[in-house]
Amino acid sequence: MKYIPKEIQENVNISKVSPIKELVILLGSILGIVLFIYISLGFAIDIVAQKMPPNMEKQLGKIYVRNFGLKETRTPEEANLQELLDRLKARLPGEEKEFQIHLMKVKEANALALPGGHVIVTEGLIKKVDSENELAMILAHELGHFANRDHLKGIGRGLVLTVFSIAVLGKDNPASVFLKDMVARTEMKFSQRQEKQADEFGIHLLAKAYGHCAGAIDFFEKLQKEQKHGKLAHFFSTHPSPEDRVKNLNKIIKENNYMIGTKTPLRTRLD
Amino acid sequence: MEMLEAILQNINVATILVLFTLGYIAGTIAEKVHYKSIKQREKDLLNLPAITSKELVDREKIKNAALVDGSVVISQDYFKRFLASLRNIFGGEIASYETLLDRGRREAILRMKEEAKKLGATMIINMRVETSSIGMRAKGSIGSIEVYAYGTAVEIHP
Repeated sequence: MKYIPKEIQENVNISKVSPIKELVILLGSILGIVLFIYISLGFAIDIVAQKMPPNMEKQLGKIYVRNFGLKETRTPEEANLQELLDRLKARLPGEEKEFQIHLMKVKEANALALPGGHVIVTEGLIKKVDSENELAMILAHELGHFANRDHLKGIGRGLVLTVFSIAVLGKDNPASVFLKDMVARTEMKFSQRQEKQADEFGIHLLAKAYGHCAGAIDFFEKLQKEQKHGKLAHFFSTHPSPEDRVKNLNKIIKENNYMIGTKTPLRTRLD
Repeated sequence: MEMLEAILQNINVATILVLFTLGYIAGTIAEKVHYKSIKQREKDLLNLPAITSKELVDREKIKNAALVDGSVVISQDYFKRFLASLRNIFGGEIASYETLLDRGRREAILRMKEEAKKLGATMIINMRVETSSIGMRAKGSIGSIEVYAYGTAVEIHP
């Protein structure tokens, strides 16, 4: 056999794939997967918020209480407010949940519904309201958030990850602890629709508790006036415009023939 | 000015993008130049065959024999390394590494042949090629390989 040297014509060891094309396909796939997970988490929020076990919510609530620097013990003012909240709670249909009120030393008027049944009201809010009915409407609005599970939905996609992590890895796993902490630091986001629903829940509860709806729109009218003066209060930054809220509440009062009685003076006094 | 500020603020992202583009352009040019040289030298050395058989049939014909070897260390560019890391997620052929290995092997064999030619060899028998990765365990590995080709250069009586 005679050896005849030949030049390599075609190289079979190298695929004919354009690297740019490969990059586009690979990056596209990753983006697609990330987008898919993000969207699925969005859909899962509602389900998770609805089905979250109470003990899991309690754990989360504890972290919120710690992060906000709240105490388990009650001041006399808080005991007073708690009594009002309990009175409203008694009118809730089939509700066994415990709600706990916390008074925060903050100047801005604000109220919050947190996981674990914690309701936060600020001193600024107590100073701003003039009657018990006015405050009761705000508390009833917060109870509306609890009834609609907004206090969990508002956390967003992080909630799904946290619940998943607690369920799979356990509550003391570092990943779960980290997620719980992160979630408790993110600001709650409620949509305008959720606020409207909470308003509607609130006014019906107010009517049940007092037999009339006096003071229901007082707070929102105050906000409306402030807004006209160009001063934006923190309370309604994520809320529908106070004007619309007053209109909507008045409409409900009219439709249900709710009475307007005499207002009860506020018992909680702050110096 | 605003543009400059934006770049400075995202210096990490900017660095990666620069390396990425630089890697792609420099890598493509280097590869083309290298292949051109490989093809030319392969042509020049066509008459010095390298085979993998251990022995020639006619031992008596061998006038002289010596060990020859060729080694090359070659690195991947930033762009292709990134492509390969993406492949790590999905699996499949790492096409971007194929040229690296092909170039490495051919270059190592060429260097071995060039050495054999200096010795006045007629052919190389019992050729072996070995590949190993370098610095793969180190953090931020540089993703380079060493290809080592060796064989026995023989001079045969005409």
